[in-house]
Amino acid sequence: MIKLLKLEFIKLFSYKTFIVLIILYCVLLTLSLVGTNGFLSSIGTSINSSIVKEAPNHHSVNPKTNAKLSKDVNLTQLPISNKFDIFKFPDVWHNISYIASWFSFLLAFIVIINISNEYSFKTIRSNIMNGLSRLDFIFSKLMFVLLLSIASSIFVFLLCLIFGLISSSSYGSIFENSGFIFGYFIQVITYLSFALFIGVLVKKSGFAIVLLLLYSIIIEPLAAGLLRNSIGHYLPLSNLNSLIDFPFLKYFTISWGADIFEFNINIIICVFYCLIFMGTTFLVIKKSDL
Amino acid sequence: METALSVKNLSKKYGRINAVNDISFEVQRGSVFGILGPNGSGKTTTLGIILDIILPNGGEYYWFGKKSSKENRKKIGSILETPNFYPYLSAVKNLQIISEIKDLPIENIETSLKTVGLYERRNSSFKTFSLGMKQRLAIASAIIGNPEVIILDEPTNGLDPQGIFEIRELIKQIAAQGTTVILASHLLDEVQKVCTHFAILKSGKILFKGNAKDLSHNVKSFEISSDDNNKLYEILKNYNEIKSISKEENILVATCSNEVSAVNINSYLFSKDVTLSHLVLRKESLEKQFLEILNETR
Repeated sequence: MIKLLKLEFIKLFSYKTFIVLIILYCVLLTLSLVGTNGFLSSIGTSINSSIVKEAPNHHSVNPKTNAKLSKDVNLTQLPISNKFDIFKFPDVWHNISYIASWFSFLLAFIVIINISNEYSFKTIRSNIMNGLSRLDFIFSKLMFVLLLSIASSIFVFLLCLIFGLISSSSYGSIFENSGFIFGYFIQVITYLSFALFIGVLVKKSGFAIVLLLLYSIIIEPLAAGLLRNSIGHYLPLSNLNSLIDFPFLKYFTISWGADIFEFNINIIICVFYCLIFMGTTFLVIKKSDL
Repeated sequence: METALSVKNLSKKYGRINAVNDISFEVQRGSVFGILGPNGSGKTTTLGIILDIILPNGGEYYWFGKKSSKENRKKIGSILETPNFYPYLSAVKNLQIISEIKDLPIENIETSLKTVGLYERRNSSFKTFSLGMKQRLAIASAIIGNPEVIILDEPTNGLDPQGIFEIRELIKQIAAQGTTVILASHLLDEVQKVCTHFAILKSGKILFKGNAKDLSHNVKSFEISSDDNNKLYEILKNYNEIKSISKEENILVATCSNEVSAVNINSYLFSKDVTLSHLVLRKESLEKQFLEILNETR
């Protein structure tokens, strides 16, 4: 196992595309967090000031408790927190996990490039000719997927902690809701297994990336729309997305979805999909000429 | 002698095409086994199957008497078709991957790079190499750690004459150490120079297999000339022992069966009042016989 990891390490550590994509991922994610926060607070401030004009008697209240109290109150009558800050504990866990999940596609590119390179350089052949079994080979790629998922979860965890500590004034409930990181991990490892599966199926990086994006943006949403909510909700990516709900509505209106991370059926379905993708990837490599 | 590889009734189909059609052969330990055949005759497919990267439709193969396994493959060094390496990695890093897979100590890398003359360029990335250098790196990767068997598919592809000579010497040297070598080539000359045994492949079938020595003793040819080659030609045509005669510039080349000697020819011609100015036994090249064997089945 250590041998397989060492092999992946030699293969990737000197690979510029890999390093560039990793740096790009880290930088883009961090910037987008700051950007989203700035964008939301500017919307918040403008809505707030218009509300303040209309209803000057209202004082700012915690949006969550407020939302629960006033479910049937007209949206425009809602008082909204003066200060929008998505980085405050404990909501930061939910918010950053959600934003980070949008950037999984960059990690998926890395996985696709990693596997399709082995085909285009024909190094999958030389790896096996020289004494890896097909199982070893696919195991090394699965470990890469696992490690990349763990690393990005740790990165997201650190982002939450750092941004949270900077923005919050009270540190009483720092790790409340940090379960979202677990949700993020499940989401990312399933998505990356999906990418690996597509990579092995298509073998060409460009085509695989296009297919992944087509599926994510057009094919599945279309299929989900046609199937309505009943089954459509359980298609791989829809199911994946439901692990971490859109978190920002609570700043504007009533509470939407779960604000706390709960263990639910979607997680089990996700793990199930993840195993299916990994298993079929293995079967494809086991049963085909290389 | 012990068997290094035995192949039994191997078949591989690509759609309707039988790339490999019911092939069986054995390679003895310590021999240099040549697989000869024109392009597309199934050489690489056969090697791909015995290296477990192509799955056969039928048949079996055994390495050292055992079923295929990764442990077997660790004892085999190989080149298949083009050199396959990570283009962005240096020669050393690429060999590091291979020695890691084969569980070899790292010191082997230096030795094999020096053997193929790439040590000076060890830290350059693979993509900066010329075709010849890539091929040398492929050979370095095949010989790393002195494997028990070396499989070479077109090993002199892309090399200059000097390189070709060096690689052939290297193959002989490796074989002299007792390493089993399996060499696939469409260059007959190559096989003739280094192989002890060989098989001829065409359209996925084995047309001939045997000892390199046996084959070159099947037929032989003589270079003959006299003052009047036209007359000589007519007379030779009537000689039963002669299979074929061809004209080459100032000489005639007569091919005949193995039993015929120069004495037979000379005395026959002498009886017909022809005196020769030139009579030499020509070592029949494998190439000619190879082409003959290929033509016979056409």
